Amino acid sequence: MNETGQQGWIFEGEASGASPRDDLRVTPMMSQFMEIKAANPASLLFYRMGDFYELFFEDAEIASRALGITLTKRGKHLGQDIAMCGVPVHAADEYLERLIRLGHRVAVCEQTEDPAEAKKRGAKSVVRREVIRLVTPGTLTEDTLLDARRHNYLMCILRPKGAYELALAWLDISTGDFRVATIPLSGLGTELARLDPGEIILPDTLLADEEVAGPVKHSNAPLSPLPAVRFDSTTAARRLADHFAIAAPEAYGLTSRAEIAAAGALLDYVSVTQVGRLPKLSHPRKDEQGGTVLMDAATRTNLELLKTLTGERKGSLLDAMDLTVTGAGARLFASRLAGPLTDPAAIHARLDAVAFFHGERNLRKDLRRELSRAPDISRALARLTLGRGGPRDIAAIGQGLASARMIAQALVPTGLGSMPAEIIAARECLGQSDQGL
Amino acid sequence: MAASLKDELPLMARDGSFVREAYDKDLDELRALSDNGRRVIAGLQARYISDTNFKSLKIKHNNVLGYFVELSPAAGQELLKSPHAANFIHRQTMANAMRFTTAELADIESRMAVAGDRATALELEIFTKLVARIGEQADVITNIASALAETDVAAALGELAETANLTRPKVDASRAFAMEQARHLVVEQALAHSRGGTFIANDCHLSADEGGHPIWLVTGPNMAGKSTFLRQNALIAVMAQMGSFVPAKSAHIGVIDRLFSRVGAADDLARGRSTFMVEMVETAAILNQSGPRALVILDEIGRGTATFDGLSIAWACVEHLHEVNQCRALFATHFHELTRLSQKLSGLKNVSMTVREWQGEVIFLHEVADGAADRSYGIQVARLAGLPPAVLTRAGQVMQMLEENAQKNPASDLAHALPLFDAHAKPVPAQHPALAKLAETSPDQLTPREALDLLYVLKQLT
Repeated sequence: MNETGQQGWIFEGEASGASPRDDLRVTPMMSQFMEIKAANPASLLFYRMGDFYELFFEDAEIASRALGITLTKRGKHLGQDIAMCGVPVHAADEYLERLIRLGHRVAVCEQTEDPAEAKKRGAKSVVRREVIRLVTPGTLTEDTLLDARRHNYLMCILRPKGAYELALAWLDISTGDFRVATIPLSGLGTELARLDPGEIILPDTLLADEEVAGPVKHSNAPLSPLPAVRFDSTTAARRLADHFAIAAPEAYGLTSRAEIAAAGALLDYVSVTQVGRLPKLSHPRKDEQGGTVLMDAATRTNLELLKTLTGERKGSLLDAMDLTVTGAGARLFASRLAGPLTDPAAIHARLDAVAFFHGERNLRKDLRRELSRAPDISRALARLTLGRGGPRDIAAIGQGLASARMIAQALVPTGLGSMPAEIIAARECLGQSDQGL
Repeated sequence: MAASLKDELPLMARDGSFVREAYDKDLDELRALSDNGRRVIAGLQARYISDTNFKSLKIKHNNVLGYFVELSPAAGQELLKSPHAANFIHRQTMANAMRFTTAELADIESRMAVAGDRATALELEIFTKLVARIGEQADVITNIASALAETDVAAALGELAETANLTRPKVDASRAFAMEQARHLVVEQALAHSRGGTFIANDCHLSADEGGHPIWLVTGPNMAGKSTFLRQNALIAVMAQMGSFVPAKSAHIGVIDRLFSRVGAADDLARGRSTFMVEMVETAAILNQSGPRALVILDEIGRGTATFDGLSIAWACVEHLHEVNQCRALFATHFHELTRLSQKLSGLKNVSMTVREWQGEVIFLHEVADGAADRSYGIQVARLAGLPPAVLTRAGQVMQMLEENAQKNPASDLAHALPLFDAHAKPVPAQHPALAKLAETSPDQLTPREALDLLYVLKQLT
């Protein structure tokens, strides 16, 4: 698109007969568009104009093909027709979802001042516009764009030069879960199969490293290669220390420079895509390897754990087992099924909790009814802390906390059995909803 | 917090009117002002009607004019004249109406607009405060969210345990693997759904502790349920270790740290690798990575290549699993020759899917029984699938011939003929192709011309 512009500058003005001067003039709006587009070259630019997000030039061609919407023209730029298509703002989420699913990234550019203000600067001035957000597959928070029953991890993969270990960091921006791990190079495929990330960032140089690029490509996760300088460990350490208000990332047990670099790069990427706003994130926790059963992608596919061989959820073990009634519960269920434990004591603690609910039939039914009414408070919280939330998100949190209170009160055994530790801990935590709010 | 918001809420805070009445006094006053404005306007309409005597006079609102007085054109003409003209300012004439404003109307309107704007601003302020308060409590809210999720999962598994008739597994640090009357949850549900009969439960004992048989070699015809049996045991291990009850009468599992499940011949066309290559890459991963706590499920490995290659590879794999990996494994195969291995490998046990023949047809019982299958019933299965009778008859003849041949030259000697797999066996150095070529020629049989040709061939091989 830019190339078209550049060539046009040289040739088109002279070639197009009638009024070359008109053709050569770049409208103020177009020059604003060009500037914003140049700052976001890898994304389709949703340019807000009134009640529409408009796309121009090559973006318009890509979007019209992908979305099946009409491609039109709007004026000329340097003597050439400007291809354009648009989506109404009120239906933008649906179009965004389709573009993201197809692996595109979208920069959303809004009008950030009142048109009346712009007029004060002169009749021809353009309304100020700014990119308020980059929408990428791994940084979504909207319920409409997310599968309520699946985690959506953004992952960073780093390989220190010549090492046979990789540093991984991953986080779910919509729930704030943030993990770091060091894994053997040979374990990458298995780990990708377990976590099934929604987007992977990595230094572009790593794409030439077949030992990393092979498993990464096989996982089919959308990739966002970035310049290697974005993964600098010194900058990363400072960034982590600033964000979490700690002296050094070692405080969280991140020992290797690669782990720190990976965690810091993720934080930076989220900050860039959210244009400076960061969601509420838990501090990075070291994911202890060996705590879960190792299963590679072929094993998972073959056993049809989360999906069938044909890629559907129906017919999988997850589909047969998952009777959870909340989105957060379903996400936890799927990640537990994807990573069964290897510590008998931890397995028994979970089985104790299941046995408790198995025995307490009435309590279980009441509790599940109450739970099914509880909204997804972690995703509502993420939207609010990102400044993307609305009154409904506040109401959702209020309602969720009220449910938590009721559930805490209801969690009393009616039979003779005593309460397992896991449920006592949950009850204490749910009881906190009384305080403060 | 519940006290602050209305029941019906807008998506965006800037849309306003989401704060509940009586939550904020200032907001209530501003709203009263704008509500009051509406009442004043109604009063004004009544006064204008009595002043002008036009019963059809109405005060309306649109986004262009704001509030205005509307009358029929005939009545409107009267307002253009004195004494009304002093009060009513003409704004618009339409085919069937005339529109006017008045100073009072404009005044009320601007007061209402100001109140409305201030109310919205105030609501936004309240919204921001609520968000800030939630932000302060973000840690607590996050903890509550995860406690809710955990409770949901435990209750859901409790519900599943009851509805799907599951039992609590015993998981410990041993290397046991004992399933009594175990089932495949997904297949069982599908059968129940389609009313296709009941699922046949089967036992499985792969204990790697003293005296057990950690490797089961499963034989039996296709469609008899080998794959289902293999997978159900892997799935039960996954279910147990994620913390769920399991579909079995009882289950005892020594913790598994690594699980492999492979089916022979899964084509990977997308990556341009042949079936056999994929199979071997995956098998290599299993043999290189399985430790004493691994569980390995191998379904028809070696199927992707010629019979003798496949048999040899499968044979070596079983030996390696038994001697080197020493893991628990289920190995399904249609190479019946492999069943002879149980004579040499103490930890290997043969089981088979039982089949009855009745009037020339096979009936699958889906039961796992001790001992190897006597044959594979491939022709009977082919009949079920509807192969033409002529083909079936011919296949029967060919099979008889092959079996007679096999008896003259029994493969059963294979187990004894081959030395027991030696984990430290040195790989045989590969012979140079030129030497191999030389070894198979007998110079006496060659014409001078053929000898010269051979020399060229040998030259090419170097």
